[in-house]
Formats: sequence, structure tokens, C-alpha cells
Amino acid sequence: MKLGISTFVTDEGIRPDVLGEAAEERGFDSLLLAEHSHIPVSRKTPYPGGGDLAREYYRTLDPFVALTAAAVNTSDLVLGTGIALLIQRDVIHTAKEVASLDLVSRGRVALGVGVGWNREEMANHGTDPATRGELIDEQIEALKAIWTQEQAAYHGKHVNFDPIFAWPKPVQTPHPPIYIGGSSPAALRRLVRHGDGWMPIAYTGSEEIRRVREWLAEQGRPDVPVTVFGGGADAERMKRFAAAGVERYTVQLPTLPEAETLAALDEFARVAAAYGTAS
Amino acid sequence: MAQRVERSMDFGISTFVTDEGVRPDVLGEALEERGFDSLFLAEHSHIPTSRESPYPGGGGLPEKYKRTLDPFVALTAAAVNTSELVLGTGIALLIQRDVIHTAKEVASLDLVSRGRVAFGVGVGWNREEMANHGTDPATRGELIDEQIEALKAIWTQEQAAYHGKHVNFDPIFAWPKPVQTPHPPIYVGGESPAALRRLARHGDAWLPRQQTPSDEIKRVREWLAEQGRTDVPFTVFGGGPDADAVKRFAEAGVERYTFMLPTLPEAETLAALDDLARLAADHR
Repeated sequence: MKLGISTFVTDEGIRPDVLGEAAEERGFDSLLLAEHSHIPVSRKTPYPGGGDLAREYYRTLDPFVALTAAAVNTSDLVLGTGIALLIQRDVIHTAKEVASLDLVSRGRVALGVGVGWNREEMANHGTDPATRGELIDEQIEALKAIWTQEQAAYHGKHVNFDPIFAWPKPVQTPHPPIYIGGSSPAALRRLVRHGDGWMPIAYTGSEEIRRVREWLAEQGRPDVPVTVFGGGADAERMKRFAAAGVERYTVQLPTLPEAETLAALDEFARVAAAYGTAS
Repeated sequence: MAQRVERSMDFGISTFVTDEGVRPDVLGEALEERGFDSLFLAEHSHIPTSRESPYPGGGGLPEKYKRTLDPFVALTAAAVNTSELVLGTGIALLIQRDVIHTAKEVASLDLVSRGRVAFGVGVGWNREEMANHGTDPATRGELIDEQIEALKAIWTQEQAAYHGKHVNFDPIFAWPKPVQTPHPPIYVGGESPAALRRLARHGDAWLPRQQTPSDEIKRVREWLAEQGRTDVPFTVFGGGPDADAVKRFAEAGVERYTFMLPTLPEAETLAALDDLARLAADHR
């Protein structure tokens, strides 16, 4: 099982270029970044984690800027979103951002997408929370069309454009893998139809992942790689997830200044070594 | 704001970074090594195939318009291994962008670059392109004025709200704030009367194109002074490799002249930059 890092890159923590190099130096295979474009002050939607919304949610850098910074001085690190709030993004702009990062990184993008939970945040981008499931399905189809066709068009209920030219195309063929976040029935149906990989949060648990993988095989998708987002630095948990067939486990890195981050990464690398020795 | 200080003209590069040319990280380092002070990147999110809007340059649309990288990804790549290079858009099509996302992209680049962003904006010309982003060409002048005000609110206020005709949101939290204070300079592109009114009201710098006559440069400087704006620096976008043009703009009091770098592979780009660096050195 591959081991990566998931985190929130903010103005109060380590710089993303330094983080990318530090993660690669310590043998982590990937860096997954969370996204919130902003947080409305008068938020009515409860935070799914319970309690107050953590400080880093208010302060994330744009994920494509942060991942580009992490890409420039690394060569193998997979650069992922975990997840990008596709439903509140313009699909033509997002297609170009992903393709541009795939070019700068020489084909290292993993695009994690989800439907989000913060209804006031999405409303500020013109997204109707009630139809965002339909919207993201169309957006994923439109992204693939833009990335793979010389003249791409899409005519859906929510996404609609006549033929367009748009380069760069991504370096990866046919396109960067799209990881579906979430573990609801709707997210899993989306995974079967549109996803290249699954990105459940670690909270989902290894037993549920085992069950979903069996269900995916029944749907004719036995090949879907699973990346666990936001796991603990715990060799025993890593072993359980590995036994459930997880391809990649990412350890949740708290948002801290550079020196503390490097110390945390050193500790994670020791846990990874303990897991590696035991497995 | 401070008065302009008379000094010699700076030289930068304006270009289209595409998948067929030099990589943006390599380009950034090459510019800084050669003494160019800035990199201004053009943006088109896509080009509709059935375009009805005529290309303002006349004739067919050059291939590079269809192939530009996202400007914030490209400028971030140029930022990481440089330390002084100003990272500019020339121009970003703000009118077809989401203002909350754009505020965060600019602020994030300003953080990664330690305060080197120059945010050039314009209203564009390709009506089919903007329509695909939900923008009504007829009201895009009003839209961009509101967007610029909203950007400044998001960048400078702890809880920013904006209630306009086209841009409307209740109070939001949004960090990172830009490194530059009060915010990265907004360079207004275009030379029309509407663009100049926007410059006087909302702009921090002017980004006219190279075909702008030097008499017009002088006239705009005087007109801005009459509006109480004696603090607006001028950057010429897309200038030719032409010693006479350089001299003309320098005499007209322009603060920065950017040469238009053609989109070419790495080796040809570096050779072209060597030539342009010699031209700049001859002027200094």
C-alpha cells in the first residue's frame, strides 16, 4: 500500500513548495489538498465533523496554485485534490487548471472531486444545492470531453456549451484519474459510472471499504483503486486498510509552521517504516 | 497614494505560455537571469469553434490563443524558483471569472511569490467565449467594475460583503489575504474611454497595448493628473523588438516596456530572450 499525505495548506502553515519537497524526500507518494473557496459568515449548514469549523477551513490556498508550487521541485509526488468542490467551480476553467498542472507536473495529477456540504458556500457560486448531484455528473462528463476531444461540446441540463477548442490537453491518457469522494449511495453510484478511483475519508473504516470493493466488483468495476483520505498515523490501522485492498493511505497532516511540519512528517515516516516492516 | 518617482524604464516580457512552448518554470528563471523585471501572461480559457467575434488583431486567430495554460498555474510555476520577478496577467479575463475563486487564486499566488503579483484585467473581445461562462457581453463593463470592488473587499476585509447589480454576496471569511498591502496592484488593460474611466476610478496601474501612440500616452498621463491620479504607473503590453519604439515610450514617460515574446520551444525562447536582453541593455 502506498502512503501519502493529506492536509490543508493555509497562510498559517508550511509553504506548499517546501511541503512538496519534504513529502517526496521522506518517501510519501502523494499530497492531497482540501479546498474551500471561502466560508460564509452566517453559515447555517452544520459541519459534518461536528462542533465548530476548524480554523484551516477558512484559510486554504487555491488548490491548483498550491499543487503547482509543490510540483515544480518534485518529480514523483502525485498531486491531488482531496477534494475539489467541483460543483461550485466553472467546468471550462477547471479543465484548464487541471490540464495545466498535469503539464507542469509531467502527468502527476489525481483529481479528487465531491459535492461538498456547505450550502451557503456553494450558493455564493450560483450552485443550487438540491441539484448538485446531477450537476457534478454532467461536469465530470464535460471535463472528460474537454480533455480528450479536439472539439468538445456538451449539452446537459446544467452544463451546456457548443464545440470549443481547449488546450493544453492533460499529459496523462486518456486524462488524469478522477477520484470520487464520499461514501453515500449517490457517491458510490457516481463512482461506478464516472469514477477512476474512490477517495473515502478514513472515518469510513476498513470493513465498509471491503464491502464497497465487493459491491464494485459486482457492478463490473473490480479495478477501482482506493485512496483513503485523512487517516491517522497508526501502523495497525494502515495494516487493516491494506488488508481491505486499499491502494493508498494518506495520513492527515495538521496545518503547522515549517519546523513543526517537518517534525510531524519525520514522525509519520517512522510510522510508515513500522508499517512497511510489519507488512 | 505616493507620487510617481522619475526613473529609468524597466523591461519585462509579455507572452502566451502554451503546451507548444517553453515551460513556465524555465521561462521565469530565464527572465530573472537576464534582468527582465516582469512576466505578463495572456489568458483565454478556451476558444469556441464557431466564433463570430472578429479577432481585434485582424485575420485568423493565432494558434496560441487556443492553447494558453491557466495563468495562475503558469505564474506559480514561474514564481517558485525566482525571487524578484513580477508575476502579471496581461490580461486576465476577469469578466468571465468567478470573483471569489479569482480573489483566492491571486492571494495564493501573492503568498507563494512573497508579494510579486500584478493583476492585469480586461473586458475581453470574444463574445462567444464569455457567453460560455455565463457572462452577458452587453453589461460586462458594469460587471468588471463591481468585480474589482469585490476583489478589494475580499482581499482587505476580515468579513467582506458586496451587494451590486451583478456581484452579490453576504459577509464571507476568506484567507489567505494577499501579502502586498493593501492588495496586489490592479492593472487595467485597454485604451477605450471606458477603460480609462475604469483606470481612474478603480485601477492602480495602466496596461496599454504597444500600438498606443506616444502622444496618447502623454495625453492619458495629463488626463489622469486632472482626475487627481498622479500615482498611476504605465506598463506597455506586448511591445515589439524595436529600439525606436522603446525610445519613444521611454520619452513618453512609460515606467515599464514589455516585449512580446513569441511562443517557441525552450532553446529558441532562450535565444530570443538573449536578443531582447541586448536590446534592453542598449537602451539603458
